[in-house]
Parts: sequence; C-alpha cells; structure tokens
Amino acid sequence: MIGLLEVAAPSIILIISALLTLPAVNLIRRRYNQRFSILLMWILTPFILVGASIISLAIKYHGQSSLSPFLRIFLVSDDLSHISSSFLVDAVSIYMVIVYFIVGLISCIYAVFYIGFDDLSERYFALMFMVLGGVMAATFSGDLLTLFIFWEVSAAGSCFLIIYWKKPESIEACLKYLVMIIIASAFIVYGLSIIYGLVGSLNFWTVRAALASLTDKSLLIVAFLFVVCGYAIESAVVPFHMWLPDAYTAAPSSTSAFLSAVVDQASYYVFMRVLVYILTPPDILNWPFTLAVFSALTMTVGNLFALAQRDVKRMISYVCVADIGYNLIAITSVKPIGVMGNLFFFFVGGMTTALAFMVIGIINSLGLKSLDDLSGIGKIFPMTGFALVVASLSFSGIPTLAGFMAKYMVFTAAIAADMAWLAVIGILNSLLQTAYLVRLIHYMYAKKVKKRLGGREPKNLLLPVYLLVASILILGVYPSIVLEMIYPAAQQLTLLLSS
Amino acid sequence: MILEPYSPWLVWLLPLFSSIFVPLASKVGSKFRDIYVVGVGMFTLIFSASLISMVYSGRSVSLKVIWVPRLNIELGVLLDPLSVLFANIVSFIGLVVLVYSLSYMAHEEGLTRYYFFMLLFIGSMIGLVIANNLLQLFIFWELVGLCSYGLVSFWHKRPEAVKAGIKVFLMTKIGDVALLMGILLLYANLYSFSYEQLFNRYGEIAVPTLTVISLLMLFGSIVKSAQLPLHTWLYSAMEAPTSVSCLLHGATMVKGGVYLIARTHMVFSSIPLWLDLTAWIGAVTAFVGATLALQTSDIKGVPAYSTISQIGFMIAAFGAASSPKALGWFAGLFHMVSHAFFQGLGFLAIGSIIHQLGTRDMKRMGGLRSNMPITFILSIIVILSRSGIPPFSSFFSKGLIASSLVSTGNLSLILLIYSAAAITFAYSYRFLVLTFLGEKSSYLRRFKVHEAPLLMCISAGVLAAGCIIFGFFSVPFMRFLGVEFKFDPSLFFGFESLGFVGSLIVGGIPIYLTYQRRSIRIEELKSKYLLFMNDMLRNGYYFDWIYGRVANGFFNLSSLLRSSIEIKVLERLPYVVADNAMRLARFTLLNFDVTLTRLTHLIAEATAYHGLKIRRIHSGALPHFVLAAALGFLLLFILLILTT
Repeated sequence: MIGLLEVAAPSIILIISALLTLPAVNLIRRRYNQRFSILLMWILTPFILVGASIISLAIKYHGQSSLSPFLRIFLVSDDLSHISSSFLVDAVSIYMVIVYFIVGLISCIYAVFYIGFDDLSERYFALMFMVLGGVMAATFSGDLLTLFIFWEVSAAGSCFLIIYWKKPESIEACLKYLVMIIIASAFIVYGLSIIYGLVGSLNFWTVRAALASLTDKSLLIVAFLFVVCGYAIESAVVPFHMWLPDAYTAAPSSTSAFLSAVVDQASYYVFMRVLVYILTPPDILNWPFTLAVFSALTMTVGNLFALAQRDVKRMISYVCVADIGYNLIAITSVKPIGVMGNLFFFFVGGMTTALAFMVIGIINSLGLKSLDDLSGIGKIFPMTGFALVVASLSFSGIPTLAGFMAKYMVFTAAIAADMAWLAVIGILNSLLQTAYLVRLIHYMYAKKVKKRLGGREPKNLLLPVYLLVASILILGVYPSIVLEMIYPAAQQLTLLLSS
Repeated sequence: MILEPYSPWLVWLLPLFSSIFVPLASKVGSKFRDIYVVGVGMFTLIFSASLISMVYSGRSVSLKVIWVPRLNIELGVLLDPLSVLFANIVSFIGLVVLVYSLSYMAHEEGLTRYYFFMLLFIGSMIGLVIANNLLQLFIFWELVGLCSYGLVSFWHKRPEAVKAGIKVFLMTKIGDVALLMGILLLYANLYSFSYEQLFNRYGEIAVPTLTVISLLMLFGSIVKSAQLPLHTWLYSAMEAPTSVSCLLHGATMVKGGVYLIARTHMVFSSIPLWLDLTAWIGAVTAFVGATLALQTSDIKGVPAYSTISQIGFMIAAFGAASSPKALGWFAGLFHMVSHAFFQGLGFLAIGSIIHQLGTRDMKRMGGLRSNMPITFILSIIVILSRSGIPPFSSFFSKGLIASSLVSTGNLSLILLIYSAAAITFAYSYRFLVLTFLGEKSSYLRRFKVHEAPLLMCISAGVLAAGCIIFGFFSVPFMRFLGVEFKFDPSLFFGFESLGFVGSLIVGGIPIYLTYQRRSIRIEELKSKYLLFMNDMLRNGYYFDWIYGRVANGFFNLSSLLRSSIEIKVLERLPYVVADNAMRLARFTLLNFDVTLTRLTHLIAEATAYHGLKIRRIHSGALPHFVLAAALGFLLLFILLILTT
C-alpha cells in the first residue's frame, strides 16, 4: 500500500535539499579547486534520491492489484476527508513526475555549466530544486487547493529564476510575469471559492461527482470561467500568453530551458487534469468547442508571431506558445488517444523546447542573438548547429523525429473527436512552423558568416544537449518506450468516462 | 529462394541503416567507403530483384509487424507488381548512379554527406513504394523530401544551391500538407491507414468526402511529381550535382506522385472529376513542359523540363484509364519505366558534358561530336528514345498512351499530347544541334575537351542498353503487372503510333531549318513572322499573365485587408487602386517562373508582413497584457454562453 510519505518523498527530498543547498554551495565556492565536480555531485545526489523514490513508487503502483487505478491518499482520513488535503496517484501523475525528473535533471546539469561559470550561485540551484519539488507535489495533488498551493510555490520560484541576471529587461519581464501570475491566482482563488460554495469540497472526485448532478449551471459557468482563465494565463494560452515571450527571452537560457521543459509542461498537465479529469463528461458543461477555438487561436498566433521575430530566443518562446495550442487540441478531444497524445507531447515538446533553449544559450554566450547573427553558424559550430537543426525539424514534425509522432497523435485525437477542422488548422500551422524553422536552418547554413567569431564550442554544455538530441531521435523511431508507460493512463480515462 | 523471407524487409532497411554507417566507413578510407556504398547498392538490387519471383503475374503479398502497439501503427510491406516494379527501378538506377558518382563526384568535398543522403534516399524511396499503409508512405514521402533538400543544397557554399534547396523543400512541403490532410481525412472515415482496408472499404465513404480526399491526394502527388501548377521547383532542383538530378529528379523521386496515383487509381477512378483532372493536368503539363524545354539555354534545363513533360504523359495516361485494368494505367507505368531509362541516361550524358566543360550554358557549346564520341552516341540514343522513334521503348509506351487517350475521344487532350510529342522531338533535336553539331564555340576552343571517364561511360551505357531493349519486353511486362487486356501487336503500329512518328517530322523540320541549316535566321524569324509566338514564348506562353493576375489578386486582397485594418478604407482606396495598377503592370513583366515562385511564397510573405504589423501592437507594455487577458476572458465567456 502506498502511503503519504512515499508520495510526498520526491518533493520533500527536493525541498530539503533546496534549503541545504544555500549553505552547502557557499562552502563549495570557497574550495576553489574542484568546485565543479563537487557542485555537480551536490546537485546529482538529491536527483539520485528522488529518482530512487520515484522508481519505487512507480513499481509499487504498477505492481499493486487493487480495483481502482486511482489511489487517493488523504492527510486526514476520517469523515473530514472531503475537506482534507489529499494526494492522487495514478498512471498519469506517475508518468508526469518521471518526465519532470528526466528533463529537470538534464536542465540542471546544463545549468551547472551555464550559470556556474562566472559566479557560482547557491540561490539558483536552491530555486531549481524548489520549483521542481513544487511541481511534483502539484502533480500528485488530489484536490484543487493542494494543487493551487504547490503551483504557487513553483510559480514564485520561477519568478526568481527569471530575474536571476538582474538586468533591466529581466527585471521588467519578471515584474510582468509576477503581475500576470498574481492576476491568475486571483482568478483561480475566486473560481475555487465558487466551486467550494457549490459543492462543499475541493477534492477532485467529490467535485466531479457533485458537478455531474448539478441542476443550475449558471454559477458553474462563472467558476469555470475564472479557473480556466487563471490556468490559461499560467500556461500562456493566447490571448493570455503575452508574459511568456518576454520572460523567456529575458531569462538566462538555462532558466528558459528548465521552465519550458518542466513548468510549462506542468501547467499543461494541470490544465488537462482539471478539464479532462474533473469536468467530464463534457455534457456537464460543453467546454471542448470553446477551448478548441482557443487552441486554433493559440497555434496560429504563436506561429505567426514566431514568423515575425528576428531574435531567435524570442522565436523559440513563441514556439512554446504554439505548443500549448497543439496540446489543447488533444485536451479538447477528451479521448484516450488524446490523453496519450498529450502525455507524449508533454515529454517530447518539453525536451525539444529545452533543447532549443539550451542551444540558443550556447549561441547567445558567444554574443549572437538575432537571426542575422546566426548566419553561417552551422559551419563554424557544427555540433551546436546540428542540435538546433534536430530541434527545428522535430518542432516542425518531420518523420522519424519524436515531434512527428507527437503531432500525429494529437491530430488523430482531433479526428477521433470529430474535430477534423482543428486538425486541418493544426496541419496548416505545421506548414507555417516549417517555413520559419527552415528559414532558421537557411540562415545557419546558407548565409555567409557576418562576424568574426572567436571561441570554441563548449564541450561540457554539449553533453546535456546531446542527451536530448539522442532521446529525440530514439523516441522518433521507437516511441513505444514511452507509449508503454502512457497506455495505462489512457485506459484509466476510458474507465473514468464510462463510469 | 533463400532470400524470400528476408528480402521484403532488407530491401529498404539495408540502405536505410547502412546510411548511418557511411561516416564510419569514410573514417576507414575513401576507397573503403566507395566499396561499401556500391556494395550496399548492389545488395539492395539483389534483394529487390529477388522480390520479382514472389509477385509474378499479379500476385500480391502483404507482410507486417507492429511498430507502435499502443497506437496500432503497423510497419508493413505490400508486395505486388506495382511496388516491386518501383522498388526495382529505384535500386537499379540507384546502383547505376552510385557507380557513376564514384567518378563524377570523385574530387568533391563532403562526400560522406553525399553518400549518406544517397543511401538514405534509396532506402526511403524503396520504403515509400513498398509500404503497406499510407502513414508509412507519408513518413518516407517526407524523408525523400528531406534527402532532396540535403542533396540539392549539397554545394552549401554556393548560395544559389542553398536557396534552391529551401525552395524545393518548402514548395514540395505544400503538397505534403495536402497529402497529409487527405490521409488523415481517410483515417477519419476508415480508422485505418492500410491499403487493404482502403481498397476493401472505400465504398463506405460518402462520395463528396471521397472526392475531397482524392483531390487532396492528387494535389500532393502532382506537387511531388512537378506537375502544373507547382512544377517550378524541379528546375530549381537542378542546382544539385547531376548524378543527384538523375536519381532524384529524373528517374525516381519525382515518380513518387506517379506511384501514388497508380496506387490509388483503383479507389479514385470511380470519381469522374478526379479522372478528368488527372488527364487534363497531365496533358497540359506535357505540353507546357515541352515548350519550356524548347526555350531554355541551360543544358540541365532540357532534361528537367523534359521530365516535367514526360511525367505529364504518364499522368495523362492514368487519367485516361477508367480502371487499373485499362490500357492507360499500363501505358503510364510502361512509360514510367522507359522514362527512367532514357531520362536517367539523359542526365548522365549531360553530367559527362558538364564534368568536362564546367559550364551549363548551351550557347557556349557546340561541335562536341568529335571530342566526345561516346557521349554523342549516348545522347543520340536519349533523343531517339525520348522522342519515341521505333524500336526504342518510348515508341511503344507513347504509342500506348496515345491509343489510350484516343479511346477516350477527347479531342483537345489528344491534340495536346500529340503536339507535346512533336515538341519533344523539336527540343531534343535542338539540344543535339546546339551541343554536339555545328562549329565549336569560342569558349570551347580555349581548351581541349576529352571524353568522359570510363566508369561514367559504362554506367551510362548500362542505361542506354536498357533504353534499347526494354521496348521488346512489353508483353512480359504486361504479364508481370497482371494486366488482363488482350495484347494486339497491331496496337503498336496502328494509326495512333504512326501518327506519333508523323508528328515528329512536324516538330523536327523547323529546328532543322533554324538551327542546323541556318536557312532561317532565328532572330529575324522571331522579330518578323513570329512576333506573336515570340511574345508568347517570352511571357512563358501567357501563363505568367494568368498567374500574374492570380498573384495580383492575392496581393490586392492582402493589401486591401491590411489597409482596412490600419487606415480607413475609403481614405486609402484611391492609393490602393493606383498602387495595384502599378503592381499589375510590373507583374505582367515578370517571367513565368518568378511569378509562380511568388505565388507559392505568397502566403508565407503575406503572413510575415502581417506578423510584423501585429508585432507593433505587441509592444510589451503590461497594461496591454492585462487588456488582452481581459479580452480573452470575455471571449471565453461569450463562447461558453453560446455553446451551453
């Protein structure tokens, strides 16, 4: 039987190590000689512990033979359980935690080399641990309030990761992020209060059961409006997206990679959890069409703006915006295949954006920012260039790269839900995406080198980059590795929808 | 046979996976790499040849393994005469071109990349034709596009080559998107990608939906096969090394569309619109491509436009066939094979010339006959074969195409095809006169021209032999495909075929007079008698005018939209009209290709422009963020109210 401690273990380990990192890294800094290896070990130790706890949790969960696949763990397990904080363990949350773990680990390794080079900072890694811990706890949460609290933890942490360099533009971007997140929180809290008023509980299952038998839906609409708006701001659905490009452009690239791979995907997960797992079947409240419109809008606007950008980092930020559009397609389908597509996309999309940001971090550190600066980069820095080509081709959904399989699943989900029009818009958007990404490749390989460039490719930064390249290539050819993990989740949704 | 259980898989997996190891082989040494690459090509050919016995006389075998079990995505091969035919063509021409490249590309840099893409291409192309479902076809369809991009921009230090690569990739991508939409629509109706399901159950799909699907897939095919209206990418692709042009853009990759049409013919031939459209696109392209070949002065332009035109013949033949059992279907495939031989040979011969002369401009050539006798003979074979002189294979295939078109009774189609055939001879003859006959140009007098290296001549010679003998194999070929119509020898010597030969004289005489005898001076002719014709020629046969109008329509539309958003419509209207009148005038001056390219890039350009405009709104001020969020909130609210 899985207990409370086992579920909370990853987050607890991470948050404790976040607290310990502050004095520990301070100590490491004084020992100048081998600071990198010691720092790396310090960073990897909690990851190893977290990895072990996640693996044991996963083995226990998949090894059990209980009737319900949804394990609900309450803090107070008597008659007050409906208002108690609770956790929910199912195939989806376990899978997501594994995804955060893998991508988070790779971005942390990157960050060690990227941030640690000039001034070794204890704050940065403490915050990374905290955000990761918050995100994992939010993923395991079983009621809307716990979800909200841990989500705020990670959002606050992200804020300081963005501001890390203390440049004017990063302070401005961070302020915008903060204001938008506060607005989002206000929306969510207001929505939650209405739901609590309607139902008397915030537990996923209680809410779901109560909503199904609700007769007057006018208040539900209001609650839905506020909650969805709040989460839409946090996951940057157009037109709530505007903070994202600013924040990701101004943040250090390691932050952008980490946030886009972990926090962004977590926000999509929250969206999916709230909509697909609570507000279903859709005839309680017919939201799929509404969100399909937003999905089409998000893809189109994200890709159009990306097309207009000259700053490469900003362009990739808009690709992140477009990504949530693709994810929304799968969410609105409310189909098992959609959930599979979502979960696969979370992993692959996160890896690809992280890869792109990491590569751009390497390029930026050489003083190159705009599309024109990138002219001829591919010939001078072949390894870096190739990694960016892989990321671009995966974004645009070229077969045998993981992005193709992700998009394929998303589009078939739309078709399975009788929304072929959305799939068509998605495919046209892919064409648009191909256009500007091929333009990027064109600049990298076809144009003449503008600036005289010194410096060599940083080998240690390329290690995490090539870990991601390899996984994108492998998952493209053999997606079954991940799909086997996802499949139980899809089955659970079938179970949920039929009951 | 021993190979039987393995060859259906190895035939495409071997080159695919071998391509990954090309860098490793290059590390060992360039000699080893050459042996490795040719060895892989050889084994691929052996495997594909061993498939022939499995499918003789129209049998078909379907094998599959499950690739992604949770999504029911299968990886399978469908062995039937059609797929085995294409696989053999690809592996055969592939091997010939690989051998040719050993000599042709010997002194280039970046050969590792070259051979990597070549093997990847051979594997993907065989994978494309041998796949048993549409998803797998699409995956390889994209992969061959990627290879085409990589190979067209092979000389990545030349900006034109890279630009051409981008153009090729993006233009064919438009077709790919249409194809993907068609495939997904099919999936939405059948919940399966496999051909087997499609062939058995297409009756379940409503006719309007099936029509839409057929048109989307037809569009995908014609873009891949460089048919009107998106044919211009093929000429740009000529920036690639000639060996690449031979394999990808002459003999195999452009046949991807032909393959798809032949494959889906059984399903879509029930739709009259699809048939008519196919026939018309084919016939018009055959004609337009031929005329474009007549006016080019680029030596590679001749086989490029000729390929466009000849594929037009094939597609017209498919359009004339009412079912895959009809004569047209067979004629199209027959012509596909003979085209693979003669156009492949054409490219290889031209490659030899470029290799020796280092220029592509035909006006700087002439009198090569005595210096390059073998290439001269090979070129004559190309020309005779391409024009359809008996007993070359193309005589039989074109004769069959003509008879299948005559049987439809559509006079305009027949006229188009006959005039295309006449012009085919004209441009081939013109090419021969300009390069091999006549006096040496001042450019050539400066250095001594040698015959091409032996290896190049041998590999070209293999294709030449194919051109000559393949025509006599029409009956076994027919049996191989399992087509069941009564074979009649007089078919070949009937009115239609002889009419074909007659038409060649019509095409040949003007060229003889203008270029060889010089009894008609071309400039004088142009300026005095053929003013109208010359005008048409320069304007790309008025197609540019039409496309200019279409492009202008789009431009007008987009600029109108733009100005109505930004400034009051009425205020701007006079300027818009004046502005567009100017643009109209300028556009009619632009030549055919440029205008067409504009048209295809139009959407991208217009959106980029709008994107720039929108960016201004996106100034990054926090109040705007909040305002936008509020608007989004409102939109969400309205939509919710509307839907509940």
